[in-house]
Amino acid sequence: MSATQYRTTAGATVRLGARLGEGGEGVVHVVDGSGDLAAKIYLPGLAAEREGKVLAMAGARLHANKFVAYPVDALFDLRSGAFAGFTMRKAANRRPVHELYSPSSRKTAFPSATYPLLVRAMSNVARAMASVHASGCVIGDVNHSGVMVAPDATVTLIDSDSFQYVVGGRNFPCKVGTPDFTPPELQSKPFAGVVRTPNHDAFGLATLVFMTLFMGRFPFVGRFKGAGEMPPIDRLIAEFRFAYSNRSATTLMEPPPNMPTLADLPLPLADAFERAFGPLGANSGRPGAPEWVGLLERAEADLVRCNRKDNHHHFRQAPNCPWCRMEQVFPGFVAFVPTSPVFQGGAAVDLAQLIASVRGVPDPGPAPDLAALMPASPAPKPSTAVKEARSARTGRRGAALVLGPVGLVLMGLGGGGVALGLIAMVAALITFFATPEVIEAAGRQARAAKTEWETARKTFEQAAGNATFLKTRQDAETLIQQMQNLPAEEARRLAALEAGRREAQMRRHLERFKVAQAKVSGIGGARKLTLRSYGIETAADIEYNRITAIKNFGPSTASSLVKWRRAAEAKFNFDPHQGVDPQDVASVKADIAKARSDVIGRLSHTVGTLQRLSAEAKAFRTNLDPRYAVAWSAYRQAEIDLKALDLD
Amino acid sequence: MSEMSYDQRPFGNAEFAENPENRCPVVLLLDNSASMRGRPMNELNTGLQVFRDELFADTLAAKRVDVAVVTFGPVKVEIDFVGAQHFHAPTLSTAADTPMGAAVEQALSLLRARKDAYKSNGIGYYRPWVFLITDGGPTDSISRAAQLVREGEEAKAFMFFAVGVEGANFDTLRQLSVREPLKLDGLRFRDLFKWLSASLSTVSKSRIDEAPALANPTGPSGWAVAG
Repeated sequence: MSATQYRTTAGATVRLGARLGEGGEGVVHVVDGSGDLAAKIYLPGLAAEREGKVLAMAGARLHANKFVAYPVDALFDLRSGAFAGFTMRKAANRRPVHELYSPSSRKTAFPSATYPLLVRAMSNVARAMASVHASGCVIGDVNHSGVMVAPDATVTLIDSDSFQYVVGGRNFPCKVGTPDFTPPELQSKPFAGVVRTPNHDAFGLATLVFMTLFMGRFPFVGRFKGAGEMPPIDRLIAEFRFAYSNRSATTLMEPPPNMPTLADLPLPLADAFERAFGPLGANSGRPGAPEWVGLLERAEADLVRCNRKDNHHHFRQAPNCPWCRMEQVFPGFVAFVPTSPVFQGGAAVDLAQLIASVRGVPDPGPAPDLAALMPASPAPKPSTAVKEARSARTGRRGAALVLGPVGLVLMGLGGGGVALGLIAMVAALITFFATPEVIEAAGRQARAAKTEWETARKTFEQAAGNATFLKTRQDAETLIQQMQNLPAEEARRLAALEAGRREAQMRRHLERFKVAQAKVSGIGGARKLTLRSYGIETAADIEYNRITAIKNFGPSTASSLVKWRRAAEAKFNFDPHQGVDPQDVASVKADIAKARSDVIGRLSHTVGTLQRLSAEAKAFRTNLDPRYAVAWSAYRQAEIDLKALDLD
Repeated sequence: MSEMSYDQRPFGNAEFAENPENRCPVVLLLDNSASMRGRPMNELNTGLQVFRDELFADTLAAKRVDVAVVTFGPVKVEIDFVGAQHFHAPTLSTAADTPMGAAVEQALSLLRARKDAYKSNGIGYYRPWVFLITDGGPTDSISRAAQLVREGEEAKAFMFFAVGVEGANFDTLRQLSVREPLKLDGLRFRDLFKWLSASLSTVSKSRIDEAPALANPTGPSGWAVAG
C-alpha cells in the first residue's frame, strides 16, 4: 500500500484523497482540499526514470497551459525523500475521445453531441497539440484515451509525463506509442533511440480527426482489392494503404461499404487527409497541428443542417446527407441522438432520479409478428415453373391411366399376356405415383424460400424484440440492489474495524519493524531486496507461506523470518484507550464511495444503453428492411406452389 | 441461400456501424465434460463472470474485444461472437464426453465466419485468440484439428493457447497446440480469466518496447505452473 501523504519541492505536505483511476504506470488520486488538483503516484520502480523529466516540466511551469495536464509540483516520499509522482490539473467531467468518435459510446457519453460539436472538438485537439509543440514537447503517444473531451468540446491532454521534452540541450524521451496512431515510418520499430517529431504527432492527430469525422472508422481499413488476405493493421499503415484515397490503384483499397467518403468533405480537408496518410507525408509533409486548426475552423463554415433530420449536419460539399444514407442502409443505426432529455451522470447524482430513469425507459415489448407487418397483396398464382411441372405430371398420369387398363386387358388374355400385363400394370403404377424430377426441383426451391422467410422472421424477432433490453434491465436492477446494500456494508465494515482494534494496533506496531533493518540469520542485503520486490517490507508482511512461495526461499529461511516476527509481536502492548485509526475509517469510506460511484457510473451508462436498445428495437419495426418484403412474397409464392404440387 | 445476397448486407450489421473499432476476436473453447462437475465447474463459471466484468470495466477493450464461447461434451456454440459490451457470461453445466477435435474445428469455423463479417463490413482486426481449457483427453480424433491449428499459426491467422486443468492429457495438448500448453495452478480460473482480459486489453493500450505485451502466467503471481 502506498502512503497517503507526500511532500512537494517547496516542502508543503500534500494529502491524497479518493482514488480516481489506475493505469499501467501508476495510480491517480484526488488531492485533498485542492479543488482542481490530482496526483499521479508511480508504481514501485517506475518513478526514478521519470524524475528528471517531471522536475524539468514543473520547473518550466508548462502547466500554465490550461489544455494539458502538465506536472504542477513533483511529489516526494515523506520518509525517504524519494521522488514518487506529481500533482497536475484534474480532467474532471471529461471523457476519453474514443467515447466521442464511436457512435455507440457517444450516445451515452455525449448524448447531445452533434456533428458541428465533433468538428469543434477536433479543432480543439489540434489547438492543444499545437500548444504542446510550441513548448518544446512532442506527445509521441497520441491515442484514444490520452485526449479527454468535455461536453462543451474543449479538451485536455493527459499523460504529459510520457511526452518527449527537449530543454536546455537535454532530451527526455518518449518511449511509448499506440500502434493505431503510430506513423508508417515508425511502425514495428523500437521507440528507444527515436527522436519523436511534430510530424509524427501529425499522423496521430490526422487519425483522430479522421475517425471523429467518419463515425469512428479507422482510415486504413476498408475493402482490400489485392490478392489474398487483407494485410494486418500495422502493415496497412506502413504501406500507406489509406482506404479512402484517390490513389486506390496503388493502395488496392476501397472505403468500407456504405460509409461516407472523401467526396463528402470540403476539398481542403480531403486533401489534408491524403497528405497525412500518403507517402509524401512521411518526409515532414503532413499537415501540422496549426494547419489543422485553420482547416477545421474554415470547415465549420461549410456545415449545413440536413433537410430531413434536425439532428443531422454535414458539409455542404456532400452530394446528400451521409448520416441519412447510413441510417437507411443499416436498419436500427442512429447516427446522432435525437434531442430529448437524457440523464447525465455528474458529480451530485440524484439517486432516486437515476433509478427512476432506469425504470422509466419504456420496454419495447416483444417483436410483433413480421408477417403481420408485411404489405397485404392478393394471393399469388402458382408460378409458371410449377404450372409446367404440374402439366408434365398430369401428362404422365394420363399415360399411366391408359397403360393400366391395357395391362388389365393383357392379363385377361391369359398365357404370355399375364406376364406382359403385370409388367404394364407395375409400370403404370410407378408412372402414376412417382414424383418427376421437375416437380422435386420446384418443391426444393419453394421449401428454400420458406426456410429463408423463417430465418428472416427469426432475425427480425431478435433485432426488433426486447430480449436484450430485458436482460440489460435485469442487470440494472442487480446494480440498484447492490447500491442499496452499500450503507449496510459500510456499517458492517466499520463495526469490524472497532472489533479489530487490537489487530490494527498490532499491525501498526509490526509495521515499525523494517525488514531492511532487521538482523536475521541468513538474510543479507540481496535477500532483503528480493523480499522487498515481493512487497515484504515489514514484520507485518511476514507469513510463512508468502516466504516459501518466493523462489530460493526455503522452509528454514521462512522459519527464521517468522521467528523474527514473533519476537516483534512479543514487544506489543495493547492500548485500550486508543480508538480506531481515522485512516482506516477513511479507507472504508473511500472504498464504499468508490463502489457507489462505480455503480452509479454503470447505472447511468445503462440508462443510455436501455434507451438505445428501446429505440433500436422500435426502429427495426418502423424502418423495415426492404429484403423482408422480398422474402415474404417469395414465401407466399412458395406456399401456393407447394399446394399446387400437393407437396405441402 | 438463394439469390438473396446475405453476404453483402447481413441483417443487423448496424453492429459495425455503431461500433467500428478495430476488433480482437477471442474464442473460448471450454471443456464441460462430466469430470468438471462440482467445484471445477463452479470456479469456471465464476471465472467467466470475472472475465466479463473486467472487460466491461475497460471501456475501450469493451468495444474492441469480441467473444465467442464453444463448449465440448458435446460440441455446442454457447455464444456466437458478440462484442464484450454485450457479452453476458453463460452459466455452464457439465455434460458427457470430450470431443475436443470437433470442438476445435467448430471454433475455427466460427472464427472464419467472423473474419468474413469484418471484411465485408470494412472492420480491422488484430490476430484472433483461441483459448482452450480442458481437464481430460479427447474422445475423438484430433489429427485434423491439430493440422488446422498448425496451418493457422503458420499463416498468423490466429494464436492458439491450450490450458490443462489437473488431470488433462498434456501429450495430446502438445500435439494440438504449437505453443507449449499451460497447466492451471489448482482451480485458479478467476486469475486465469483476469489475466486473459488484461492481455486482451493490451490491444488497446500503449506499447512500450522493453516490456513484454503479456504478463508471464507462470510467474510468482500467475495462475499457471510449469506443466
